[in-house]
Amino acid sequence: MVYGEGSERVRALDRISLEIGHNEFFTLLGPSGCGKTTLLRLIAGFEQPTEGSIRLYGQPLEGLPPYRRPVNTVFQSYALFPHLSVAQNIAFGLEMLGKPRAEIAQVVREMLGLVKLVGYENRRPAQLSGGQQQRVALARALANRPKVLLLDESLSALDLKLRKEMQLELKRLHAETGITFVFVTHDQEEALTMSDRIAVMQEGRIAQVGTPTEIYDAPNSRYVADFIGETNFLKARARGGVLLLPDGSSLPTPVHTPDGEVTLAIRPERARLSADGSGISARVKDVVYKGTDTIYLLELPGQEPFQVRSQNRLGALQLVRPGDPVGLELPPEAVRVLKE
Amino acid sequence: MINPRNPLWRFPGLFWVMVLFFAFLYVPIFVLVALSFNANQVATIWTGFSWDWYKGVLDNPNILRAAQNSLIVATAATLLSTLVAVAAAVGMTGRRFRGQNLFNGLVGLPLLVPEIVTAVASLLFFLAIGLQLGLLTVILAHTVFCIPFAYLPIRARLEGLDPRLAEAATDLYASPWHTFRRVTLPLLVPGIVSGAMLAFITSMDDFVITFFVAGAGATTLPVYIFGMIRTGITPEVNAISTLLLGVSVLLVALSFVVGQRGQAR
Ligand SMILES: Nc1ncnc2c1ncn2[C@@H]1O[C@H](COP(=O)(O)OP(=O)(O)OP(=O)(O)O)[C@@H](O)[C@H]1O
Ligand SMILES: [Mg+2]
Repeated sequence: MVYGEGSERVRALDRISLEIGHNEFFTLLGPSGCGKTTLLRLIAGFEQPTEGSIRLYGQPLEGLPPYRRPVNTVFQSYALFPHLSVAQNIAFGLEMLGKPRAEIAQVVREMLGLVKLVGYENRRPAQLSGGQQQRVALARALANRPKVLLLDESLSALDLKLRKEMQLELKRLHAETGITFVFVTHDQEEALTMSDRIAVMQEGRIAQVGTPTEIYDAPNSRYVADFIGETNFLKARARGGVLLLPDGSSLPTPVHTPDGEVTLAIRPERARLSADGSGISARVKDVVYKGTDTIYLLELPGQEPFQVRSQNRLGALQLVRPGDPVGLELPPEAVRVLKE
Repeated sequence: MINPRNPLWRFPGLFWVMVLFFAFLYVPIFVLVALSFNANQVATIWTGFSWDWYKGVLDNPNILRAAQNSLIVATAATLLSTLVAVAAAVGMTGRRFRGQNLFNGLVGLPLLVPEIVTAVASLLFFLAIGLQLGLLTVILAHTVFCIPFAYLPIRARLEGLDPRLAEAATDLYASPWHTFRRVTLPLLVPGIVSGAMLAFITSMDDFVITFFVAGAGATTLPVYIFGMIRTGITPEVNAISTLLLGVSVLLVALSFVVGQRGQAR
């Protein structure tokens, strides 16, 4: 997908190939400007792909204007019609589809119940709070029972509490309606908790597609590992089935790894400080107590700073102070070998 | 509005310059309005209050005919020019095409062209195509010069609209026509109202162009007033002018209120 012409050309999306399943909660995750909105706009029909094609249940969508696509969008800015009441907003799509009045009234009532806005039908959007507007936008899109619902960072404008509520609400609506959701966010936690599958995007391409567990536990690149959750990276060299660290220590390879330079990705909560100082030798730089967890910031010779997160179980308190030498234990299942 | 810390205020006499400015602007109008209620035959000497001149105006069939012509012309020109302005504004927004800036400039240009030039050109044009001078030619000429007045507020309103609204309508199965009819047009109403009122007022008080292109029987109020003045300023002139002023002020106030309401939404 290319925007503009001549010197103003912007390649917003490049070689995207995705298959989204029926009634899937599919999330597009990536930093600002990576092309998430562009991908949604292509599916909705506001933009035409410069190359390639999009199909909906086998039907090619090329040349079909947005108003002929059984797809509805919840816009980031809601885009509620300010001159219409809540009920009229929700009824808009059905009226355009030429549904009978009685049916429209019935659906509007259902939708108001679904998004918990009964009693608000005659208000104007300007008389609603942000969260209420959000729910009207959701109801307006869902009322038409689209095959696919597109949600563009629909929760990002809400405060944390409302956002958590709406996340649950969305999951419930997804389960109750059986509609396929394509959800855009740049919040990795939101993506992990909500999605059936996630596509992590990077500068117009797809870096990795997978279930939240796959993406979190088995990132395929440093980019994905870094973007989703916190990750430690270690430089190492693979040789004959072992991983050699620069300081001379070695680890068994979790999977077969061809010889050469590799990067190891280790989640902070999967690494451990050894009780007896065995393992990779490191020095404690800082200890940060976080209530449920304690975070140990370690220095390893010739490596980036390394974090270990350990849960504060009863009696598990380790008396480690900044400056102490410690041993770092990395269970083989905790180590992910990245090509880069 | 007046910030005493503005360094300009340190210039001595600035206050009096301001007083003079406003006096220059408004005193003649106040005098005219006051004299329209003057009982004295001589328009410039005050003797007492009276409604006589207004009665005289309403009893004068020529004035009534001129007023009627003015209303017909202003109404027709307002409708036509607003229609064209809406079409032009909608066509110009949300799209880029070659020569767009040129087009934008051309729409506003009549505001800068000296009126006398437009007047002469219109007259020559009507004569060239053999159109009989009369109400029709006045309406046509007024429509043309009212278009930019109607266009500017409509365009401003349209540019202030969130383009996502039209997209949302399209997303909700509204064809381009329905999107316009159900979303764009209703949201445009405040702009259209102010545009139409500006057009109406502009048409109502136009003199130069009307004077050139109005044939016999198509005399409008301003042209009629001009005719009266040539035989001396009578209190009747003051009365009509005051009425005209009243209509203008009313319309401007109305358009302002509608504009404000539109902003608030
Ligand atoms: N109408 C446009 N014309 C030209 N370039 C555009 C246009 N819209 C988007 N782009 C560019 O395409 C790229 C992808 O934009 P897009 O809006 O899809 O990003 P995004 O992932 O949705 O970002 P965000 O999280 O900030 O919303 C960006 O580099 C952007 O500058
Ligand atoms: Mg976006």
